[in-house]
Amino acid sequence: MSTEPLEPAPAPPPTRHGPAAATVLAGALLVLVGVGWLLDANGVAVPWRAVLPAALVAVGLATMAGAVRGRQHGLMALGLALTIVLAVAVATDWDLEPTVAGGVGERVREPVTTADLREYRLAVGTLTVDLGGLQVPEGTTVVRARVGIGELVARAPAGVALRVDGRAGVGQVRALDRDENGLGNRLDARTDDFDTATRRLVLELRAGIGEVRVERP
Amino acid sequence: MNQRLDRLSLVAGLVFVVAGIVFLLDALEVWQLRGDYLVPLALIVLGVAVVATGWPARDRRS
Repeated sequence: MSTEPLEPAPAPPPTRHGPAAATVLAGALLVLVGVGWLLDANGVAVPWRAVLPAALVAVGLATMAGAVRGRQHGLMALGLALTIVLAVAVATDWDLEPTVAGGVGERVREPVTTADLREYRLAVGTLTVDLGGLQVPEGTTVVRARVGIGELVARAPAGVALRVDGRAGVGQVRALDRDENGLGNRLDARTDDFDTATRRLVLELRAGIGEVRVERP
Repeated sequence: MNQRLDRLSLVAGLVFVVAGIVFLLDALEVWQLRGDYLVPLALIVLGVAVVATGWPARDRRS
């Protein structure tokens, strides 16, 4: 009768007393994004452009911390998704605000007094902001308009010093005899008398994908 | 503890931290990140990640 030496039993897997910190962080981030989304849907201004990068930094730290426990597939996927969203936001000049709120179609707005002015928005379509009849008071008057996808046309009044801050993520910006084409366009132009004029009009115009155009009489 | 460091997770985490800081600076308008910076930046990050993950691991047993 022969006896064989017993092989040592394999070591039991380490007991986990709770979820990994990385898992907790990922869950907390999802909850925070969901809460922010709900607040946003209810009209609360959520600074997504600062929140999402901060979340990406947190995901990165958690991924690095979790690297000692093995590969962090979930966190890497989450970090990659956040990176792609933020990169697209930068490339298309999309500031992650809810442009969907502006609706779809063709809109013409013709404010006459500064009391009529507000931030004009359109998700998809053509938005014309006709300022030809606007009574521009002394000082600086700012008009903001934004189109997600489509065309944004601003008609400036005559005899008013003008500055245009136009941006288009993908497309074209045309104003004051200048023209910018391509990706991530920014055009900042002003009339010669802008710095010395008593009545100044500043147009802040944004298009995610499409054209921004300023017309003057 | 006999746990092995996963270098891909480490490098990916580092990339996310750096990218997050860059996007945060852009959001806070400290540094304006232009759309045409993205492709060269992505190439640089990809290259660093490839080099970092391909670097031979130091044998700690010797």
